Amino acid sequence: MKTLETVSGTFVRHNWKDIIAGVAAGKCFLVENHGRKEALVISPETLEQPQTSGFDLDEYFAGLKKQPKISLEQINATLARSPEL
Amino acid sequence: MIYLDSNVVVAATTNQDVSEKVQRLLRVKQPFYVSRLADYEARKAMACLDPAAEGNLDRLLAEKFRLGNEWDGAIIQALKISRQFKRRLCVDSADTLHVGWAMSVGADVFASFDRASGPRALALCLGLELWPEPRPKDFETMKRLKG
Repeated sequence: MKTLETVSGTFVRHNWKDIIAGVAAGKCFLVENHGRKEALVISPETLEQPQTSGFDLDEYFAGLKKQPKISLEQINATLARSPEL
Repeated sequence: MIYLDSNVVVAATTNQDVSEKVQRLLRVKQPFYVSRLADYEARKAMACLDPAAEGNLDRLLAEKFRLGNEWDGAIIQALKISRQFKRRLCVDSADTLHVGWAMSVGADVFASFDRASGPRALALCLGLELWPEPRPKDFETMKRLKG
């Protein structure tokens, strides 16, 4: 188990198959939910890396360089949210 | 696992001044996680910056990234963060949700270029590793968060 935490509210997942798979993947969290110890598991699919056969990172980035250049400032400015109430 | 904030997703799909840095990150042999929230925010930004970038994102999601839809766990974790930091949480709802999301899926690294709105400092406070490496500004914000 990776950690012991106390949570309240809706419990996310409680399926022993998932728990066992989560422990095997080293990503199982033991949590306390309204006084009961339960396990919060990250699904193995979440941890899997997609198949990368045929994907060439250098070729991908070479392709990107042909697109119009923008700056990191532009990216951050576009993503910036209005101040909250 | 490396959680990618929206700005890193946009940076990975467009031609910009940090391409080489992002290319080095994507060479790391760890899973890359994109939340549905980051996917939405990135696509919204692309509509304005470079609509062609959406095709690149689709390709990365098919080949390199994992798209996650675990909203419930992310919200529970973000609320837990809000209760922990109370008034000191000078980070907006969506950024808190990004950090909560990273924690709820067991990410080890929080990848973000956003030094202005505090998600990096919040992630650092909560024990996540940062990419790119923390700078003085991150530590300054972290001090404020810790009170």
